[in-house]
Amino acid sequence: MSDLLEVLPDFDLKAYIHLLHSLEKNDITVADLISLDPIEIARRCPLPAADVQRLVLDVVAALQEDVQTRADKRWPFNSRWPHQATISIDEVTHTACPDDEARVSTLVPDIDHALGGGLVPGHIIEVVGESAVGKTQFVLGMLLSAQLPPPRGLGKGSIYVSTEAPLNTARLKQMLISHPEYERLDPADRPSLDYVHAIGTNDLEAQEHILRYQLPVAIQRLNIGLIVLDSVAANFRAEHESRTAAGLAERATALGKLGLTLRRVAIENNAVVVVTNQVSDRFDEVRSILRSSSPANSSPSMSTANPTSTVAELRRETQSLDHQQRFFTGWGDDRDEQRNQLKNPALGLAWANQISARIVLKMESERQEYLGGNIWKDKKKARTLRVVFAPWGIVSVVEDELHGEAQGPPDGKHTELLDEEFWPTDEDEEFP
Amino acid sequence: MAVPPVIDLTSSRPAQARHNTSSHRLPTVSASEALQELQDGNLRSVSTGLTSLDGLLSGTGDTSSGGLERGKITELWGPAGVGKTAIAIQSAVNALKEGSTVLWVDCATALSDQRIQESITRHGSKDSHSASDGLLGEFKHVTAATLSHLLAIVLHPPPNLIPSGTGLLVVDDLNVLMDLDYPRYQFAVSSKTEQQKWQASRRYAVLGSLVSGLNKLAVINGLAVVVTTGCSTRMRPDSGLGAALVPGVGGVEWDGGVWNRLVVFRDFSGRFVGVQKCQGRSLISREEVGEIGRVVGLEVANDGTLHERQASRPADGATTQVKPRASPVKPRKRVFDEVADSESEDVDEYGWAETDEDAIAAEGLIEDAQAATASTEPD
Repeated sequence: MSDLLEVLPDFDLKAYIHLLHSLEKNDITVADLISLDPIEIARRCPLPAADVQRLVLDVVAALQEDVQTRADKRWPFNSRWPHQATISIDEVTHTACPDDEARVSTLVPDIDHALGGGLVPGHIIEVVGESAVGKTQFVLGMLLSAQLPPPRGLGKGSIYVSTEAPLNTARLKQMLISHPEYERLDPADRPSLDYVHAIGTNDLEAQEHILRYQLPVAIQRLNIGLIVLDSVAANFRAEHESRTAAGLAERATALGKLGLTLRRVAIENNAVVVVTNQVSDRFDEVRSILRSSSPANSSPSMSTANPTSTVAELRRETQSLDHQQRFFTGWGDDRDEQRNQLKNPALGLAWANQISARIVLKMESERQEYLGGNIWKDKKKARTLRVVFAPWGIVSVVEDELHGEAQGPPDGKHTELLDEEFWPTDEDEEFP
Repeated sequence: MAVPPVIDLTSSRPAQARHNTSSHRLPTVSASEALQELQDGNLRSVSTGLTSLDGLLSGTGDTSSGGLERGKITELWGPAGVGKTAIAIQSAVNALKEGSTVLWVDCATALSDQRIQESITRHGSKDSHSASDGLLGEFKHVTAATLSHLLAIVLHPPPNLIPSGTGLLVVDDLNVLMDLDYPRYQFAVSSKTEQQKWQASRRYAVLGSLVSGLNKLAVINGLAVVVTTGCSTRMRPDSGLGAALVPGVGGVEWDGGVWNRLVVFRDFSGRFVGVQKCQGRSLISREEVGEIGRVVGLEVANDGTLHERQASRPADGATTQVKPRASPVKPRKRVFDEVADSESEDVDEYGWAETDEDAIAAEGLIEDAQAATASTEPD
């Protein structure tokens, strides 16, 4: 019952203190308490059945009340259970909560369009990509744009939780000074570095403590609308064993708890949580993607099996992890992509189940321009951004080329955010 | 002395029956009403919006009255972002159009209000009839913060949680909640104590309670239940294939309580929904991890609604086939020499003991099932 305080922080335990020790000793969780027959619980840990019965009823009543209050708080137009109301279509469209309109814009029109307007509060959004592709750069911009008044931003401050490098305030200042979006605002309306808060954490325990206990307090006190965790993988990779099955299971449990903490923070405070993630290489077996379906073309070993089982095997293969992960990781669903460039977001399926949306940043591999003679010049790498999945509608995937040159948005706004000058260069040691 | 209330058997109406004080009694309907309900086909299921899928789910190919059957549970599983919630939303809007109430329970990712409102207005504007009516069913939305919260409202439903006239209950993203309280893989020391064994079995026991609770809600209230889950992976060392995706929530107890199971997945040629279990009968063999059953293609329109796509042969179509990976099948761990020690066990040269006959027979079953499924492929 040790999780009772987490599940129901306000539950009054005075009448049941004598039951707790025995329940705890037999590892009865709150879920067990509700789903098991009270007689059986009373039998397992010797306790008076009537008391257990009363405890169960009280806990159930408290949980039901909790569900109702959360629903009321979040959706005021949701009718209370005792009453029924039928809503006409007009009512439905007009009773939208004002918060629904607010999103965090990335200040790049194409990217905003791909996201359906911007990042939606109440969700965990993951930004994943290789090192030095620009993930941190991308989220830095949002630390400022979240301060803009709705609908472009949330009108609130932001927090940057870093597990790798400390917040690059110099770059933030540059963005603030030179971005045309901010330039045309009055100095009073402009975002300010005063409302960007940062904290660094180097190990998993500190990270957990900060996210669980300090973050909710900071959000309330400082009126925060956007939280960035950069990056989620760093501390996990350092501390969790990922080669043994037991290690993976342990990591999966820890990731589940982290997901729950972040989700709670996002939903209860109507905030946007952005998490960056690293990648690992994907090792694919050599796969021959057959273009025709006639078994005659297949290898001799396959033709020995009867044709129907071959077809069944091929159908089964669409459900293999290797194949399906092409579509939810962001790498691999384009057949032209080279096999050796495929990556997997770190932390596996356990983490992918926790996030609501995934944005992938990719970089072209080295490109060199032939200048004649024996001279090759390194071309600037082109970066692309793609929305892999998002819960606010099935977004038609828009690939957006992030160039620094004149190929900006059609209305001619020069998006300084993506200016190549601001991208990390080799001299920059702060960026990994 | 209190006079017992007179129960008029000739005019018992379902609405009355539902307000029975005891939630353990099933509603009683007169025979004429049962016949009426049978004839009103559309009251029996909630349409998914995809005609062929409705037809497949009805079991008889009847597309007008098929769909998510009331009184039963349908499970929708698939990887992230593939469209499970989209299908659930579309079904919810269809239920609202019929005038039924919908109860949506979030377990992890919150359903965005804007999304459901847009879906409702989109359907309202298309269908002029319901627009002129101006009356829709009600959409109720609650969040289950932990598994305990979900169990509290499913196993011990508050009296007014589900008003009469509810047609659909959606539980979105169940596996995240389950995995938090009862992780799928619990690795303890090899020698488990009685206590640890009991704990390890709790996940499946709780799933069993949950599924029977949901079934009870479905039958008593005459509504359809949709549960969406993500996936987890399972290794397939025996067949030499790599890991496969499996539903995030599984186990014998859960599977037994689910009436339909649909897998939503993607391929190069688009998105698909496969029917793996329908009308309570599994269309795939249990051992075949990764089979997809009968398949319906779907596509996403620009406004976000899902439509069917006429795909010729979706999953094993001409454009995409993925050869099974060629890793070697793992050899049997017991070598012939070692078996000599356990002569008392009556093993034959392949290492099978006599009691393994069932396993051998099951292998034969797999062959038959494969042939059966292959022969029932859609044209």
